[in-house]
Amino acid sequence: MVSVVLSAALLVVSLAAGALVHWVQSEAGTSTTPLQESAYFLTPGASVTILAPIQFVIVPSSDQPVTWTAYDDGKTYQRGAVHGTAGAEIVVGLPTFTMKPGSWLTIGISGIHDPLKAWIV
Amino acid sequence: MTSAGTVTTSARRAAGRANASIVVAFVAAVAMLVPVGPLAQFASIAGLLVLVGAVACARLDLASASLAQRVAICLGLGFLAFLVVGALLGAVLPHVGVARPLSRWPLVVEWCVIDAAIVVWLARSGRDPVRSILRGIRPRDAAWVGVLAVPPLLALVGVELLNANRGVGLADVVGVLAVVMALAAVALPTRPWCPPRILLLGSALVSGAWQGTFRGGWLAGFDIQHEFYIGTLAVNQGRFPLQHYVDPYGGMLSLTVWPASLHSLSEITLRTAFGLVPSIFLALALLATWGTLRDRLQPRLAAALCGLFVVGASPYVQQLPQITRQCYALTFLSLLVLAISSTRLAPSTARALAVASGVGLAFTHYSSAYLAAGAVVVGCALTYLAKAPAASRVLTLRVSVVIVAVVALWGGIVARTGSSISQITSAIRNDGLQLLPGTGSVVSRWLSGAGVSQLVNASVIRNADAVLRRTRYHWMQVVPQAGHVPLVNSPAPVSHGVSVLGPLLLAAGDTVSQLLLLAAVVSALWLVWHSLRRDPAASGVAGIALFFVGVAGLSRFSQTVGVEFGPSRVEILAYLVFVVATGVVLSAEPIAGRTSRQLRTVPRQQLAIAVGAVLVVVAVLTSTGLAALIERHQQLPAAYSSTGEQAQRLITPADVAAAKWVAIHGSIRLVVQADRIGALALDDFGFNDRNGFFATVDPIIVNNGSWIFAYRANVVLGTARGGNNAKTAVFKFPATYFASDRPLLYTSATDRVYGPIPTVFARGTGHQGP
Repeated sequence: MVSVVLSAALLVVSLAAGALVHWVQSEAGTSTTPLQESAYFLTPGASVTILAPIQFVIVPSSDQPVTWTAYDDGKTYQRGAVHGTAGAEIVVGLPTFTMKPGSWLTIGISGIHDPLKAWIV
Repeated sequence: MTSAGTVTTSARRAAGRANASIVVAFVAAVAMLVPVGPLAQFASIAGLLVLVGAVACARLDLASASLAQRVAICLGLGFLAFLVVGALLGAVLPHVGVARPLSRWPLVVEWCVIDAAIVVWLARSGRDPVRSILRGIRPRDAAWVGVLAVPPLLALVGVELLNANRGVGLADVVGVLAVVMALAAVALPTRPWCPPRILLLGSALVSGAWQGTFRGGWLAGFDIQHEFYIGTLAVNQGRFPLQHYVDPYGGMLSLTVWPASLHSLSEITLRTAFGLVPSIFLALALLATWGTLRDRLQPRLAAALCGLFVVGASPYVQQLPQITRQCYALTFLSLLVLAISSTRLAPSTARALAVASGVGLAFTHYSSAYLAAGAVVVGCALTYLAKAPAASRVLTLRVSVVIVAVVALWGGIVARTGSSISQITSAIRNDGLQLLPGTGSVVSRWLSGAGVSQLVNASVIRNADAVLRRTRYHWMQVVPQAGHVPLVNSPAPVSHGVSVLGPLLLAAGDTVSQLLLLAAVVSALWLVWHSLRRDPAASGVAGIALFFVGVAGLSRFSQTVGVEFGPSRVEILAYLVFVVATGVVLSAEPIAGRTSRQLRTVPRQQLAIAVGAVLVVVAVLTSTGLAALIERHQQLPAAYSSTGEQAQRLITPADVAAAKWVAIHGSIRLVVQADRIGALALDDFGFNDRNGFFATVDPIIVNNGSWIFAYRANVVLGTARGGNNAKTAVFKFPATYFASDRPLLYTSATDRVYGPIPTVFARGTGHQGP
């Protein structure tokens, strides 16, 4: 019986200490790793074809909307905005049939310095 | 007052009546079932290790062993039992319908059954093995454990703050705390109110180690990335041996059964299992070494030796936590040394401990195990040569044969290390030993050792890559313009240092390390002579010390062996032997007598303490990395700086996320390339084992069809690393060149993945296919 009581007391102390560590971490702002915005082609390859729409994915770092702009050979092709939850993938479809083959498609995304880029064939 | 006193007395009586083993069993079981919070997670595993270890120790005669020895042996045997049980269940249960026995609920059930069986045995027999192990521990020792646990926890917070660019202040404070604790371990008087010296040293060691492992936000280091991948495989497969995996890493229980069990039983993340736990085992190795030394030496001298050889050894604090398998092996090596050299253990107990340690070494790290087996053979031979009394021999023929056989069988059959060994032997066959590489006098080459991580000019790497282009990478299709992209040096910032103190500290650090080496070699040779002439009982430790003098010398002076194995890793194994050999020498009659005569006056004693304390401070300043901030033109240590070469080598969670994307979206036939550090993030997903992966971004050996993974240092800082283990250069990452004719498949603020060059641009030279 004494063993059981002592065990329970030790466990309570452990749980309390664990809660304290969590509280200190959250107060220090170090308990979570900040998310980072990212984007990628859903089906990556050397080039994209104008025969079918391409799909790209945006992973926002916050709940704020993310805007994107597609350029065909340097000229604005299409714009858009997506709104999702932080860390959740958002798939965006982009029709390509009016794009110019033999040129670069770039997709700039707000918050990310380098645009996605693909060669159109 | 009376009431409080009565309550206290009653509580003490209750604690005195309780069976500590049953308490530990209950706590472990409940914490296992409800692993809420870090302390409960810790309690579940630590409780099981203590319980199982104590039960195993009940079979040994530890009546004369010190508290440090009992605790170290208990935890070591508990860990070994944990590995054995996990491996057996992981191997057997899949054949009786439990597909993943190392996953959470099968493991919880298995360990609850074992726990319950132990409780039944304890209740029936009335025994309390945990209390026997902890006999002699005082309440104030437990209080000091609590107090001295704070610096390591502060180290973790300091790292988090540094990772989040929120200042280096706390990291600096923790570094200084580690030095002060090591100093205190030597300088404090022996008074009841003083903290135990071993706790001070242990806290300093763990604080220093934990300052590095999570730096960058992920796991810092080279080997640990591939180890993490093996751990992931073990968790996913939930069984042992791993299926469809033949690399020796898959045969080490320290990388498979142990992390999978830790993760499943306590629900800690694999990152925590690889980042925090190994350093605790380094502290356990320190405890075993302390227990060995205290058999023969006064506490202050034992603390000084531990401070110099262990806490003050840079590889021990900075590198070992990033080679987790060797941390576990070091624990068993220190127990093996304890078994061989202890004067307190009964011979039968020492033999059993030696065998258990040898088995533990075989299970946890094959190369450490091979070296230990070699040392055991030499120790055994010297024992017989010195005609040590049969009754007191530890390294008997039977013990040695068992250790060597287990190491050979496990390494040969389970870990399948043949390919790794043949890699080293073929390197020696092809290149020779390349003794004393480099230029300059013999003395300067002695000081520089094999120099396995030399920083060189980028042009050296370009020339080497041109040779690789013609030979190993002749199949690559590379666009002609690649040859016009130069590799431009991009050296990282170095420390400014302090004008007078810096050179002084550098000279002092070099002197201390050379003195330690000298002391180790002299001790080993003197011990051999002493054991053959006067004290055959010392022949076991003399033999293993002699073996490690040879191996450490070979790895230090042979470029070939150094590149394949790493002199600092051998050095660390050797130091755990040398520290005990030095302790044995200092306690031997002629030396001890002469020393006590020299130190008979108080001023001389105080001078000796001061000199010892200064030496320890210099060593620990170096091992924690603080000395690099004071010395001039040194690499800035990542533990205290966000710039510099070391900080550029850190992996962030965003890098790992990008690498995971490559692993998911890149087909197995795809050729992927990254620089030497970007490669580490990919290693977390098994790219180390892939044929189509090359750790180079020098444009002349980047295939047209490759994906190129660029990590934080490439993208944000614009630097890259090339070369090999022997020679590395830091140069500007050719981002403009890659961006000019390659698609960008993945992008974030810190990472990019470039795709293959479109066919219309890919008019390269070379042959088809890898």
